[in-house]
Amino acid sequence: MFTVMMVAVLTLAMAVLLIYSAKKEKETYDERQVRARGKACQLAFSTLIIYIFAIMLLVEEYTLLKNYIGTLLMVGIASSICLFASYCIWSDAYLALKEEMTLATAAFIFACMGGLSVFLFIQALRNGTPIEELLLLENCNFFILGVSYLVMFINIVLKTTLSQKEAESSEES
Amino acid sequence: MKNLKLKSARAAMDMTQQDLADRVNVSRQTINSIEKGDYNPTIKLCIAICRALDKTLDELFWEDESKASDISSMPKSAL
Repeated sequence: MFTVMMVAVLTLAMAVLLIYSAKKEKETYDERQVRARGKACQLAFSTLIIYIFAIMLLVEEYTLLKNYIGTLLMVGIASSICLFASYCIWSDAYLALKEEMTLATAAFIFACMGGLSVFLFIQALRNGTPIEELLLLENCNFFILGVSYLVMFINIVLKTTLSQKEAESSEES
Repeated sequence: MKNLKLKSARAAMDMTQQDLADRVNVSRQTINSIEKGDYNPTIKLCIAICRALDKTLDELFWEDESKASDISSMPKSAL
């Protein structure tokens, strides 16, 4: 099942790459967007460093957490990516200039990725993976990914809706 | 501080924010941010906007002497 899913995801990724490479016009970000992306990168990276430092301190204190270090790191990485994406989305620096992503496309991509991740997590639980002491397990990585995509999905839907209203009002005034 | 000169120059040429953005190769939100005074564009972008609107830098981006002195006398917290 997992192999089939991976092949499907890779095929989809290849198709998207081919479609984008077929476009003649090179998509670029303007100067404000580049600056916003730089700030987002700085914010996400510093958050990740602080998080990893905090995790290391916690692991020193509570040795039980050593078993879950992989998952804890995954939470940090997913949160940083979420932070980066959210900052870019809210600064209107997520999409390149010529890149036109409709709400339906965004919803489709994020819902697919989020749904697939949560599905894989449920499959892993069904296969008999126990939840010990209510702590995170390695299989929770799929769940973490799913939540991340869901957060990005909510952000992009909210921003797109607000942007449309803001565009109408700014042109009118 | 809002850039009303830019907004009126754009309106005078009957251009929308999107039209101007396409002409100078930036996003519509960037033009909106400049008009609202949330973003200070680089000189390169200022020149591109001036060329698109057939105006000079002074006409679009230079503050009047009186206004400039008003701003310089303002406390930092008010800016």
